[in-house]
Amino acid sequence: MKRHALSTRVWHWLNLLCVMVLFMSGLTISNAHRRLYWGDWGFAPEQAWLVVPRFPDWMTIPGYYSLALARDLHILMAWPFALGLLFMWLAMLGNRHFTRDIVTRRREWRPAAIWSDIRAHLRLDFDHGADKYNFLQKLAYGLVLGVILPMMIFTGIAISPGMEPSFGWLVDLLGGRQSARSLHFIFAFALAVFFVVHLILVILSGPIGQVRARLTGGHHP
Amino acid sequence: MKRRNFLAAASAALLAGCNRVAESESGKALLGAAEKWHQRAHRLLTDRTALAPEYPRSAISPFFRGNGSTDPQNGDYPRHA
Repeated sequence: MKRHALSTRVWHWLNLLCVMVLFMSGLTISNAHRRLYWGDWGFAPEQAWLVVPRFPDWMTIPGYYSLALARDLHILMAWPFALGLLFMWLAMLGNRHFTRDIVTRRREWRPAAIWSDIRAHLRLDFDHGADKYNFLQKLAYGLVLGVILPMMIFTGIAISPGMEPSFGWLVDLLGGRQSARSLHFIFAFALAVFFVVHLILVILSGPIGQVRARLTGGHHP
Repeated sequence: MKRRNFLAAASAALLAGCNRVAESESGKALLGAAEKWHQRAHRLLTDRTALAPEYPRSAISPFFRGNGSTDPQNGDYPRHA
């Protein structure tokens, strides 16, 4: 049996492309109005809870300021991103990848076990015994797949003017349009942090073998 | 060192690639198609003729600013203002 199922692999790389374009076009959209507020409304600096830095052109898509083009690209990639995540959840639940590999076991939550996993990570010891993933991995992947990515979609829907007439209840649930926007930014940067940590750990655990397995499926050890 | 350069190169390539896609004829057609698909999804969720939701007076924003500049000093505006 392969280490990485086909559905996992297809989704992973498609999602990477979507997230990169969404994030970098999102930085342009952020540059159009860099203040974040809570609640239903906000515009003036004194109402803001955070002023986001202006992201330099080389980090953004397109590489110059164009809110219209950034939004077009954002919407273009949002659909494959959302449909891809839905497909991944159905596949994960169907092929038991979720229940077998990502769900944490009760014993893993014992403080001694958690601490032991943290220490192993700090030692760069990547042996994860019988399970496919260690505890911190399960936690990270579970949070990304179950919270961060879905919340990007829900908060994104709540910000979208065309969706608001159909999803007014969602906007209210999230605390208002400006709260939805703040949450959208918070989860986006949480995802960026995960991305950096994920890259570092892949690089530290033998990147060539990891990437090859992620492309071809690899073998169970 | 090499990895950082690789990452910088990868995102630069993505950026350049996206720009070239966006500025090409097929790229523009793709963006247009995505926009139409997006609008059709909206129409599926809520009918084109649905009435706008109504809100209580208390929901009016305390701030009603105009979009863009509200007192331009150039062009014809100062003559008419």
